[in-house]
Amino acid sequence: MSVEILPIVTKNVGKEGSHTLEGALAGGIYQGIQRILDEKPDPAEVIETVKASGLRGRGGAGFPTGVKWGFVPKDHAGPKYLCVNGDESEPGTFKDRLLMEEDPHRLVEGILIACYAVGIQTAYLYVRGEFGRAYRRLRAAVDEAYAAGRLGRDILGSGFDCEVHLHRGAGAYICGEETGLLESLEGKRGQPRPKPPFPALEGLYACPTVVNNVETLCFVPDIITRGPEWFAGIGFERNAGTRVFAVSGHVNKPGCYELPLNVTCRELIYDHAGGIPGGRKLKAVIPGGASAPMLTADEIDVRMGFDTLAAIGTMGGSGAVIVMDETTDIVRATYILMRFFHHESCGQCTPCREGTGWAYRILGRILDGQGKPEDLDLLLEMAGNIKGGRCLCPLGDAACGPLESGIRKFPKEFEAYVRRAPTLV
Amino acid sequence: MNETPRTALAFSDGAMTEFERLCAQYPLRRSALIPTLRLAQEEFGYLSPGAIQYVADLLELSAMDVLSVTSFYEMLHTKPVGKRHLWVCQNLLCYMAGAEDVIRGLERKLGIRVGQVTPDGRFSLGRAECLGACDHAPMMWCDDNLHVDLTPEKLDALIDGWNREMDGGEGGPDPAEETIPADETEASA
Repeated sequence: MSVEILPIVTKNVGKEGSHTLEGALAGGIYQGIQRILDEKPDPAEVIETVKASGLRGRGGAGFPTGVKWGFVPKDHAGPKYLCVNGDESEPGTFKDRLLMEEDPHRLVEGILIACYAVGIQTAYLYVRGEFGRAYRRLRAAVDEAYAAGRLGRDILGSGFDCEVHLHRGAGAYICGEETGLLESLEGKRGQPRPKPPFPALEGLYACPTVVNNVETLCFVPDIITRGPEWFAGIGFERNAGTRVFAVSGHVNKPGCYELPLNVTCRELIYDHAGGIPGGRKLKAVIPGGASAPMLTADEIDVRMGFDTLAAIGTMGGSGAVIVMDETTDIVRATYILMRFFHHESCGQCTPCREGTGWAYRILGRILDGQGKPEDLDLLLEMAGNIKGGRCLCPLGDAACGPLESGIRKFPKEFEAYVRRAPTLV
Repeated sequence: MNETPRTALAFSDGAMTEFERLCAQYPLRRSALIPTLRLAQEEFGYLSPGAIQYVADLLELSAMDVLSVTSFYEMLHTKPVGKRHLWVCQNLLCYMAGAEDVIRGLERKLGIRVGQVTPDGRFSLGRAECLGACDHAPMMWCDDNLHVDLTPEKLDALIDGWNREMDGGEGGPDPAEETIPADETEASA
């Protein structure tokens, strides 16, 4: 693998005017869709190309993108939809915002190719409500693309129609869950739906729907222009390509780093993000956003692929890498994350609604010096009753990630709190 | 049931044009509800019972239905907020970077607590969950922008600028000028 093939999706980030059509064309955007509109391949071939590339979703679950596209019935009579998930809200994650702000036309091109492949004529781009600048730049980019005949009816005289509409959220983490997003797009509370039916069969307005993450779609144009073998050759088996790691916390150079999936967590922190300030020691890393179980300092030689992280009991998730040095109070960190999950639980399913609230309050009690030694077993037992398919969506399971890993991997910190608790009786 | 007294609230021409544009985006008008609530909030300051009723009438929904949706979303306010609502991230990365000091500093400077509005109606203060700029913590959202790398000096400058702007003077911070540097983004292997 040579150096010059990288970066892929962040190639134009930071270049002047990268968010304008002129800048985008100068940066090579729209070449992939141009080739498709010129050659008019069978849409199934485009899906096969994306399957062969090994591209997996960069939003959280890492599901193979081409396979997801293939689930949509080809012979469906009514409309089909693409919903782009730009509701980036996983704590620690800030890569989709960067891509939407800095290279919105790459996303538009990814949308066009996905729509061609799946036979979709209408796409909705759900932008997180708080991302004003991303929305304004996407709005301008979409308007420019329409004016230039690159969106809308009969795109560049090809006969291909594709409408792209922007939809702004209004502040709710759960709308990043794909069916919560669909509910929100339909003008409802963003409460996840039971699955099945999966969105590929019954999604937006009960029509077949593809839901893809922003970064995922941003990879598609280069897969078309450079070929699936090229993409599959980056990273390692079943974990192809690069991803944009958002590194934050106790590192000298926090920021987004687009690197192949075979980079190790150690390389990411020490070689790319500049190591830990003041030469302090590493305590813990959350490798895939707040939902991902923590790693200890001696687990960071793991490669940052989906499967390698899963193999050691955590996950690649949203690609957010939260670095915590030896000064971090893991009990307080766990409390803050549990407060988040409790706040964001939509309230439909009892185990998640009540469980995250109980855990949050017990952790608060522990922090206040009122904890009891048996609280730790109680928290672990509760986690066992929240997760594992008891709820409609993965939010409750996600909340158990930091909770269980915090207690199991840093027991001394929790024990110190509950042992020093005053016993008044 | 008694007839609900119709509110005097109405969208400006600009907002009505935007509302029509929103409705045209979707096969079902209800999909425009959340963006329309945001539009109403911009127009009317917050989503009072009258504003909820107005949006309900526009989209031919019940006020109860609209209120139920409104209550789900953090950015939709059913109580008055300041002309500038300062929404400070309190999640893990901002906490690690001193978010609690930012919140305490703002409470002192503005003379209000989280959840309150200044008596002149200019500012209100809230706690937010992760706002997606963790590499520039601590940070807050205001005026549809993310304000990052907050320091006491930067907060003073922001608030003084907004005050000057609301006094009718020049020199309020231009929202478009608040940029989050992308330069440290390393993008090579």
